Amino acid sequence: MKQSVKSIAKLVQYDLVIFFREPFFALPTLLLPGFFFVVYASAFGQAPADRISFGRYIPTYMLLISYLTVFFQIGTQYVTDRQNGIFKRLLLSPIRLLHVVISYSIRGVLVSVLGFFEMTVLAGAVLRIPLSENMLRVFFVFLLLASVMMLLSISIHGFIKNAKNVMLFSILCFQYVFFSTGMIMPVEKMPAAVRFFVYLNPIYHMNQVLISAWYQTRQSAEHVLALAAWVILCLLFVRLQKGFATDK
Amino acid sequence: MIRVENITKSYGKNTVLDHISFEIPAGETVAIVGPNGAGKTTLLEILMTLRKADSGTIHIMGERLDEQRSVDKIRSKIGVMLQEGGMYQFIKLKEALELFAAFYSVDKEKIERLIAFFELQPYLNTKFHKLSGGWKQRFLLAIAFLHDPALIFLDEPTTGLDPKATQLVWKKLRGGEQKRKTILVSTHSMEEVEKYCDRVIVLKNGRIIENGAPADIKKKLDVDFFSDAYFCLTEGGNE
Repeated sequence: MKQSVKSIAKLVQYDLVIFFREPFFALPTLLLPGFFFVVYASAFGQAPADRISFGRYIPTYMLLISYLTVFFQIGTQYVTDRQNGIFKRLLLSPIRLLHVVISYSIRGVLVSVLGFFEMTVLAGAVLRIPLSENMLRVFFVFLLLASVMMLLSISIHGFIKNAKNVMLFSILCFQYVFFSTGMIMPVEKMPAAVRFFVYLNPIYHMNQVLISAWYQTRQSAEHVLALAAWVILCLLFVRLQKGFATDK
Repeated sequence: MIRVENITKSYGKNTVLDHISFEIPAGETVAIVGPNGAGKTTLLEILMTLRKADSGTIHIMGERLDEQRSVDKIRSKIGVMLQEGGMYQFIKLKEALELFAAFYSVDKEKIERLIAFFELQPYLNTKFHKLSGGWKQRFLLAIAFLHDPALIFLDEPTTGLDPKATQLVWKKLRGGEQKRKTILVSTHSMEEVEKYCDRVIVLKNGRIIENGAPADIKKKLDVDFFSDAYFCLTEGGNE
């Protein structure tokens, strides 16, 4: 038990070191969303009232960072690590598959939490935008959503076999998520046929759940049920894939 | 050290290993050779515990390889070097050594000895992806030796290396304390088989078509080089 904890701790430590060392991993995913948030908030929120209304984008940007780090970056790394035989090599040591999964999950949640605090500091301390009245609740809901994001990332990227395909998939996914989460255009103003694709998007439901937590409004059952359905689907995906890189 | 009895493995309708049996005693360096698709990597991955055979029995270091407890025990005792490398590209060598040392509970003194033996000192702060092909292989070999395993699996350890780098890898493999280790290596280099291996298992279409010392096989087939013997066996004539 003690040895397992030591191994997982070391794996998480170097997972994080490598994550922050890889070019185009930490910078565009953690820092750029924060930079654009400051730019937009400064451009569109000059008056105090505008700034308050701009506050509704804070949870969305938190989620965007979580999406970019956990789904996009960790998902891409998951595919390339598998292709480079890293999982095989790890599994041929005393490390178990469960340890690798735990390490990935801890890293995903930790990096997401960094994004959460980055947005909190930028919005609250730098731009002086009022935060949620119950940040603790928002934080716990965010943690839960980051875990779901991790499950989505691993289970969906498990179907992708090589690094070439993952890039194309990531670009398509990013476009889909960007346009169908309500970041560019309000979902209510979209044509009904397009809205159908929005409702299929798990990130859209995550965004709605986090916004509800932010404003302390009643959670809509529709979004919670949609996310529950995605979790079940992802667990089925994991079962289908029979592990990482082996047929054991 | 290794006892394989009548194992088979198929992927769908394609039989990759067809009733394979052999034994490898402790201390031998044994090569597995054969044309592409002969089943070398599958056989090696089954013995490394990465895949399961469809039937037959395997004993490795006294453990019967059919339950998770045995698999865990074997994995902690073997050393492996994979064809794909299996190393983080952006990790520094000293960090990788520390990471794998934590998995195997290897102490600092042992790591220092390993660094000295594989002459890794000048590259400890270098990231893995910045190493040349020869140094990458040498480092992966060092990781395979990290916990001083009695049994080592090497999947094409010298593919893509120039003759000097190849010689260095084998020098480290067979030099010093490593002589007593059991080594199972999959390779396409008949020169290496002849020069460095005690025994060779030749696979074709998932079956063993020859199993013996390279010198004995050459003598049996009346050829001067093992590469000629290999072509005789796999293609039915000299090239």
